Amino acid sequence: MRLLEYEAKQILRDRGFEIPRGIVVRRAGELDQALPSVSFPAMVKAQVPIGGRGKAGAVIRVEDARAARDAAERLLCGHVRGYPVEALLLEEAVSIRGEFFLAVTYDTVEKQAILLASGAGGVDVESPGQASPDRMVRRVLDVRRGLHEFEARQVAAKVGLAGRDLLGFAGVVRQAADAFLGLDCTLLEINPLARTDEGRFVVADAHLEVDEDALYRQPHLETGYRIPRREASGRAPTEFERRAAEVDAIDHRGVAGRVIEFDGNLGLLIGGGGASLTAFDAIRRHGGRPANYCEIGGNPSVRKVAELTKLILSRPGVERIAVIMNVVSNTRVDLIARGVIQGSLEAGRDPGRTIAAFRVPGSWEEEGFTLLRKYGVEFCDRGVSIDEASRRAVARQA
Amino acid sequence: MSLFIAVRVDPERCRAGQPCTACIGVCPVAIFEGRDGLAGVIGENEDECILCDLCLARCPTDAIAIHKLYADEIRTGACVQGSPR
Amino acid sequence: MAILADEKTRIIVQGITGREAAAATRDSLEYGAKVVAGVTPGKGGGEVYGVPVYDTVQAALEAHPADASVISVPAAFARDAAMEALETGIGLVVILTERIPRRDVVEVTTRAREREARVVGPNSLGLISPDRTRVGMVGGRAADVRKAYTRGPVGILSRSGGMTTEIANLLTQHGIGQSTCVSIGGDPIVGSTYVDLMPLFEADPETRVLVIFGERGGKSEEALAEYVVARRPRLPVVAFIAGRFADEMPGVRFGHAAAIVEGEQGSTRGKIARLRQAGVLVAEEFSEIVELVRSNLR
Repeated sequence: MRLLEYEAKQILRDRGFEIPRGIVVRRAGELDQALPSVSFPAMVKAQVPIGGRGKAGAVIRVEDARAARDAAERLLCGHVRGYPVEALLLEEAVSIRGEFFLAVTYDTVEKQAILLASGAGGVDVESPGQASPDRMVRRVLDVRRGLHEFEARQVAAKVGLAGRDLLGFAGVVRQAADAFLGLDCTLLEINPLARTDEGRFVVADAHLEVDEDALYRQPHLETGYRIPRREASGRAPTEFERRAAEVDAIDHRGVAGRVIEFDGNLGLLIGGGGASLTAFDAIRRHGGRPANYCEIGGNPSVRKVAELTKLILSRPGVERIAVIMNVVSNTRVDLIARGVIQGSLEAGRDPGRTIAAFRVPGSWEEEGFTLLRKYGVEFCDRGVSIDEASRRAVARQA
Repeated sequence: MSLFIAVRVDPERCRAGQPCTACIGVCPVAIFEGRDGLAGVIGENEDECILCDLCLARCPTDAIAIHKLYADEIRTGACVQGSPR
Repeated sequence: MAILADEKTRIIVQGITGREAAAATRDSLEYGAKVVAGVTPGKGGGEVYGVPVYDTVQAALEAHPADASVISVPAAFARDAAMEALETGIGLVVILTERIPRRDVVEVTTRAREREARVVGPNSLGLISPDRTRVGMVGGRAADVRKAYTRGPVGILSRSGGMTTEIANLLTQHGIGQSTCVSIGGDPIVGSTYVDLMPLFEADPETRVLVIFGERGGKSEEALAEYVVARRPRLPVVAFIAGRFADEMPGVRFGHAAAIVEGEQGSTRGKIARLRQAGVLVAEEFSEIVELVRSNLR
């Protein structure tokens, strides 16, 4: 779960990091109250959960109160790459003598936490992966014991620092390692970490990703910092996607949601994780135009599958749906069949015409096939591959 | 109404008033509820029936019958006990 | 032969009294797996489908020596359960639990390295050596497992549990059996990657072709490509990488938690290109796997 910049900074400040003085503004009207407490020059920064804000024009340097007001009004009524700007951070500009890059994340191949530091921070380092590796100091962080102070000093020395700078930077490195582990982060990135004229190290921008699977043991994020749970996604959900999430929340049995909208005409009820990707690729390969992506898994209730079917069929131009899953063992074929038939009927459609392909073999398949036969739905057994079923669905659509 | 499964409780046989809540407690998809001392069927949940037959096995008076509407099949406690399932 | 587990492998199940674990135990026993004991703290003394339940792994092993442990406990207890298994010297720990905090997973894999034990998962459905044993729940009920899996010369490694069975089923439908099939887990960090398991298949005389199912996200397919270039393995590798369409939508999550792509790294297209360069046979369509496997079995 990606935190917004101001959320990340609030948390880091409480953990002892130095943060520029700033104030969060949600409406342009609030700005007048905030202005007297800010000295200029300052930065007006749109609070949206994506990177590259500077290049998207969502971070504006302002020299006085009037410019700040202009910038705030412009940003607050707009969107940044699809995300509505619901809050701004008005922050005093830091006098920067040097920019550093500092990040902690997991190396998924080595199965270890790693700390990355570089003396060349700033906008060109957009992610740890993109930074030029020769200038990046890299060291393994043992998640069981954290980082010793001497190890933090080693990192600072390798970055090329000496004297007071070495000590100051090492302090931030150690704090970053502690914060990463203590907050159950999957990514903690401070870029730039600014060294001021006075030799202090200030967090000019921060990007924190908290492990969604560890939120249960980070309750202070919600109770203390009032940070709501949000889905990881590269863009804001569409209305259709929001309604699909509501369907998935009807009950806790299985998954029949996580829908992503596309602009085609063939509705998809596909699952699970790997098979959904495979089926979607196959539909496109055979010239089909999917109306949506989705993942069915676990053993969802009949009601959930029916509601999802109805939702997909409610989209303009969607006449048919393809129901394709891998050979299932946990999900039951007959329950999926009930769901799609019920959904089709409740949408006022004939299941036999509406269901362009039904390829869900596996557990309880005989029962499912009996049901599908009764309603005149063409189905495939396990002898038909995922891509052959996809081809048939596209052919029936034509 | 349900499309696929109809669950019927014979009020003459159901002795929920005794009191017995066997089917209510055992059903994994909450098809049964207590109604005036008898077991009632929650219509909107009938299609969630997973044919686990636990209710048929637990009902002390064989009061429950599950109709598979799509297969002209009726399952009752008596035939569950005799079937390999 | 097979890798990781065969008919002699003695298995314990941690969390055996849970609904899913109990069903998996019943099905595994029916398939012929040697599930010798179960562990659920506080429920020692009971039985699950005839398998005795103990309070601790230590107590279970004193009465029933075992080689592998299947872990199916709530995510918050998974680290502790895995550590318990590792401390007692079990050599193979298969973690079915999903949604385990990443930090906990890394603690477990770090400890496993120190103990020279192997971890499969988390978020795995387990593994199977057809006709010999099944560790975990991959394939579901015994009757369903027998329909999809048959014994033969093909090893399978898959990031998707469902697709592990799907690939086996595809091969079985075409008369090709499998040696060992491993659902390696759908999480960003798993105990055993392709590169960790490939040497085991290399050393297994029964295996003649390896099939991998990959997805976008992460670097494990790229690491496999590097391994193939550096080691020149004897086994031909056939790969299918899902999620081509998703390359057009960086940052959006499709599929498993690991299947999220940031920037260029981990794209499906990039993985396919790297694997091809390394000499891996990449199937364009899923069912093309059959032809690629068959031509390498001749």
